[in-house]
Amino acid sequence: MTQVVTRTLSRGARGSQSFGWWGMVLLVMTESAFFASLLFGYFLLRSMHPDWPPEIPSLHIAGPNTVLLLTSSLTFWLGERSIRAGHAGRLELWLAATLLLGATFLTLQGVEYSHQSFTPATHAYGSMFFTVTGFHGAHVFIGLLMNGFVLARALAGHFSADEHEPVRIAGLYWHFVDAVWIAVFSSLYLFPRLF
Amino acid sequence: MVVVRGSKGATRLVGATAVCLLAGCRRAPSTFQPLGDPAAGIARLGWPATVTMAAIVLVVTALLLWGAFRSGPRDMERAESERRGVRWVVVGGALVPGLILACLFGTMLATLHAISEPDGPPAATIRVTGHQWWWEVEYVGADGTPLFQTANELHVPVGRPVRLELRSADVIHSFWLPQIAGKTDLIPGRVNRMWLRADEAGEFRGQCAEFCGVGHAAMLIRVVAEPSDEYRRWAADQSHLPAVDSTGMAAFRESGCAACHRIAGTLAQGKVGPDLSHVGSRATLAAGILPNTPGALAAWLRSPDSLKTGALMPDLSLSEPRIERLVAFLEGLK
Amino acid sequence: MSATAAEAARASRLAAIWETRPGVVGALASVDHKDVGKRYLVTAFVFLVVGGIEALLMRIQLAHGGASTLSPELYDELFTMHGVTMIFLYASPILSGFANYLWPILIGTRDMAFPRMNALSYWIFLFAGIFIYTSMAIGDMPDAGWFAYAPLTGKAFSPGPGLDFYALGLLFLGISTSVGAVNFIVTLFKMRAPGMSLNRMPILVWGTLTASFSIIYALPPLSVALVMLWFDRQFGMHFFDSSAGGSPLLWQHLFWIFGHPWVYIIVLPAMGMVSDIIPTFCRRPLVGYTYVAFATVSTGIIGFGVWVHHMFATGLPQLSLSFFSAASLVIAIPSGISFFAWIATIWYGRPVFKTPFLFMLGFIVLFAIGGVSGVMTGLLPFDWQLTDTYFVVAHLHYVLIGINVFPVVGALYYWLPKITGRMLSERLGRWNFWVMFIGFNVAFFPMHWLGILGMPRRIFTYPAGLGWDASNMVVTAGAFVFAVGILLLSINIAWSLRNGVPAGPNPWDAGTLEWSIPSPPPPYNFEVIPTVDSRHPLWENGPGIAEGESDLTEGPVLDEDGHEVIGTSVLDGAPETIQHMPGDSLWPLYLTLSLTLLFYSLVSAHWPLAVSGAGLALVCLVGWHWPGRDPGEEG
Repeated sequence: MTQVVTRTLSRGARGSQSFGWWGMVLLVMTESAFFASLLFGYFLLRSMHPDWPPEIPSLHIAGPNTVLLLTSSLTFWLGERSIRAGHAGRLELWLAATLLLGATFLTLQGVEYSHQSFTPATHAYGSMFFTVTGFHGAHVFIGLLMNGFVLARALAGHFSADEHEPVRIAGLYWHFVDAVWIAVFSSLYLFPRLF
Repeated sequence: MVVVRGSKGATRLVGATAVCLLAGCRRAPSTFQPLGDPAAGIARLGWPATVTMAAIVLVVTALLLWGAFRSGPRDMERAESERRGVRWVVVGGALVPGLILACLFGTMLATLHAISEPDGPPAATIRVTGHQWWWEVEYVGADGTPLFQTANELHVPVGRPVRLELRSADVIHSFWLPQIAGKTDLIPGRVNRMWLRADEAGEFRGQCAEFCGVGHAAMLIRVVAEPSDEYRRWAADQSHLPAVDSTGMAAFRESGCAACHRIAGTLAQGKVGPDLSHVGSRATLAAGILPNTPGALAAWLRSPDSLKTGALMPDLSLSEPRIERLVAFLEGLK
Repeated sequence: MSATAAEAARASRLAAIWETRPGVVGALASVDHKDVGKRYLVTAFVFLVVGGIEALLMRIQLAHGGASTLSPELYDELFTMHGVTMIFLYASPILSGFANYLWPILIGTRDMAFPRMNALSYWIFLFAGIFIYTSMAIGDMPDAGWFAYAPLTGKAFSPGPGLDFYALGLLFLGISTSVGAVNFIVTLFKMRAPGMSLNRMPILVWGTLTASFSIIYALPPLSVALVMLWFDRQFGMHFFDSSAGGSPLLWQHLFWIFGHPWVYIIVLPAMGMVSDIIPTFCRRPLVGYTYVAFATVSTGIIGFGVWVHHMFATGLPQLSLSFFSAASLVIAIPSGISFFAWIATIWYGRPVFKTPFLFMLGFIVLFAIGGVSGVMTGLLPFDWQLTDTYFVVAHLHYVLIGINVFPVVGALYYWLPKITGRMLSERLGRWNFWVMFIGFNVAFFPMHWLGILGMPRRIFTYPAGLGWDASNMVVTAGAFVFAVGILLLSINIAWSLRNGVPAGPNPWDAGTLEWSIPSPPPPYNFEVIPTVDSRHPLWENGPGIAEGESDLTEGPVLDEDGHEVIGTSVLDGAPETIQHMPGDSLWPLYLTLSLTLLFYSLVSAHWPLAVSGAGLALVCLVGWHWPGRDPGEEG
């Protein structure tokens, strides 16, 4: 059995065999619980205050921003597809596009913040609004750093069709960040309009 | 870095007077010696639950020791011992506990139902607001109109239920009178409601039961249960304006007391500290930690913080003659 | 067993690959799970002693009614720090210490899945503990209790920095706990020896796995609550401010959604240790293994559904309170299953009354008492009398000392010989057990009736003559006796390091993999990666207890290309890949130092410095993840 094991086992792993992938899955799980807790807080306070929110946040920036962020998931996915087929150059382009979209999202969110009529210290709704969207923004920022790191490694020629695990792992995080935005956007922007 | 605040003498004062004070009360306010409801209803669940749980501990400990020390043969065949062992696990570990817990839960639901409402209309509705570290008390009419205010002491008629509305002015406190009722928290931003009924005349000791800061241990509750006619007399006295000595009142206002304290029917309408309208008629001071004697009151006026660390009443640096004047005045507010 | 020339050469090749280089740099850069485990154990033990001293000071104050040995301010700081220290800085890290040291040698591999992250979790634990205790150095410790209810914790009522150290310190520590949990899960899922399917894992692996998943889901609510607390205090936000749309109940819900699973996190691994130590001393496998594994996981899951039982007195609607009461009773059933599995194993085994076994017996009794007092507090109306009294203090100490400390001490007697190569003294061990057991019960049993007699928690003094004096005096005496027990343990451990009988690989004649390697183990753990065919590979050939054909002498050696381990499948433990692992590295320490700078900056509101700390941390992360040799890496 010994010799069979060492002869047929490959070195290095990918997909569900890779430790890094598992680590990222668990990180995503715990961060999901973090956002779930934030939204739990939002809905708990809302249940105690039927007149929440004091003002429903506008969709003028958040709406287009949502489109931008979701598109960035698409561009990342296209990048992953490229490297799976061995096109490192195209991966770099799609990564750059993702970075651009993500950075634009954050910039626009900053604009939205500056136009808000309330601050985190105005009332608990303000505290909640800025904290929830702020932590999401922080996760976008970290995602951008991760994507930048992956882009740097791509430019250094580290990836090929067989070896691009870090791209998958960063992709998982990026898609997660987008999924969180869907939850945040629905809770803070859509839900008050519907109920 | 051990900081010892307050003099040892003051603490002994508190301790000694507390002993004398409570000589009139029952000794330990035991949950298992209920003197009213809902505590009696709770004890009817608590006693059997405790006895059952104690029995379970004895039985499983006996099984454990027997299993460990028994000298019978221990070479049963592996599969057979596994089968028998699993039977223990399922029966003893799941089925029997499940049964016991189901019975307890059923009893619990019955108890909840029995104690959720009093068995008659309330004789009084009392609004209690928790402060750091004293209890604001306001008796209100059935329609919510305020009747009179007091602090730290409640009187209730024996054998008749009273309703309490619990609020907090600052942090979370908890109202606990072990021999009459379970605890209910006083939470800022919420109104919690409870009811209680004392079934024997006497004085009952309670205490704040949610940590609320440095004075938490010194936030006692005193409830006096008395026959209905005595209770009505007490309530009437509380409703009447106190007889106010004018020079005493002047001293009171000059010393700045009116900024924080209220005396009904006067210009002193401060809301920061306890209402003092009838303070002379209370048995204790400073939320139950001092007896209401001239000596204790003088000591309190001299330096509240040394008797109750952290007390929000400042040291007013009053002169001795002024203190004497105030003590006489306050003791006269009956 | 003769060491042939080939075997000796193989062993020295493996040693050269896996050894940490000597000296300070090697020590600071080591990612060897055994080093990390030992550091966790020592540091957690130090915190146990610190927390214990805090307790003894409180007990001196409470021995007499009306005492003024301690001021109320100091007393309030002590009960807060005692809780924080024991619950966060001792109870979980001690189990991480055992897990880190043992789990690789228990499951047949050479390291944890993320060796550098493992070292990181230790360094953060150490620095976060120091951070929290900085509050003592500056004379303003947190003083609002370990569960820190709002709004007492707000700036208005707690103006000093103590609570900022609390909030930020626990956030800092949470990073350690979370990455530790991730590490355990991936290790236990992907690195078990070939053939070790899920149903062949030791129960303590099930316990740690359950606890780790619980950490993944339970720690975030706490982090959110702490962030909200710090934001309220630092930036004037209003999460818990009922006058501005917030609510104190928000804190309580978030805290207890974390807090209740946390208590299972700090006992389930210990219960798992019990399930694996008892069989050794009963000379037979655990009865009902599958039931116990199932009970472990169910307890972890149901544990997320009971948190409101900490809030029974808050005036929430009775219907929802009743639901949580029911769940709190139901959770007793999986415990009952484990309980009777242990009793049955003892009943149908041949008990050997060595010291570790005594601690397991003591644990079972304490677990019974703690469990039933928990059922009592789970009954909603009864809880209205019992909550926030010394009854709860009794309950929580019976479950925490009974289900964490006693198994931990038994585990120390059991596994220290593997770690140090030396046995502890049996004779001193018996004294240790009886002094601890008697001291504990004398200290904590009277608290049950103190609570029933109306004594609330967290009061720095009480009036003499109320009927509480004698019991309090007894409690204080018992506490000191228990402390003597801990002292005896320390003496025994210190003595054994020089004078203990050499342990050899398997002093207890136990059946699991860690007993097949030398004591202490070589840096590479197993010379040959074992292939496992039963739950007790070492009992297959000898006493004939287990059936199987595990292979401990022929297997993959992996001595050709640096740190390598076998990655196996989740369910069956079938070999899948050969994983290359990182070696020693200074990045974990550098990252920890950057984060330490960040947190000290935050607590003193130095924003530019905080940004620098965060920036440095990012630099460390980039360096860590960029392929190539790490600073401090050997060879």
